[in-house]
Amino acid sequence: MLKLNLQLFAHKKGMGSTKNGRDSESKRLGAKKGDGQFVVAGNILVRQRGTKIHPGKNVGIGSDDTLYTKIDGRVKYERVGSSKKQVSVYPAE
Amino acid sequence: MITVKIVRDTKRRITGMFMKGHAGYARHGKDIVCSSASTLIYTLANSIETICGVAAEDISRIVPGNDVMAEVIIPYDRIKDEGGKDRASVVAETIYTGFITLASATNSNGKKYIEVKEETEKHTEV
Repeated sequence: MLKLNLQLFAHKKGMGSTKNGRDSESKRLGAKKGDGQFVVAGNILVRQRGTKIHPGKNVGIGSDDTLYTKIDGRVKYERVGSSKKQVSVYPAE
Repeated sequence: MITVKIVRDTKRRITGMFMKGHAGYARHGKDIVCSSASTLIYTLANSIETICGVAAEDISRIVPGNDVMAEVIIPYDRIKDEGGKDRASVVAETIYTGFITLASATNSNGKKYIEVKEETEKHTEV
């Protein structure tokens, strides 16, 4: 006896290929030091594209908008106005 | 569109059924027209096995896939008694009527899914 294949005459749609599926290498952006964390001069605070977070006191900005500390001290994230944020470093007491 | 070709001998008995093509009613797994047609051709092969004692595998060839095809031969030469030949012929006519009935089904736009053709062999089966 033959075992019935109920969908013998049904068209099996081939798996269409997609033109997507590519992605660039992840750049690990974002904050590298937390609020209140102790940092040493030259430490990178934030990796970013554009100034999502602005440089505050004792913080420098690199050519790729990376924020870094100019002094040893503690990190402080602050709000500037209603929408902007900045990061500052204050000398540890 | 599934194409069903019925072959008759000069005594007008059905000696074979050949099918190819896709129903195209719905995608795989939901194609009810395809399942109806599949059921008919499998029933023919299994019925001939039951009636004539000839293995369904020996009288049928089923090739699934995108170039799907199925064929069943009714082996009158291997059926000893006349009664058996008549029963086999009645079964084939019943399945043929099933295909004709299925071919009458259309969707709301009148699209057909099955086409049934007939052909007569040049020589007569024993």
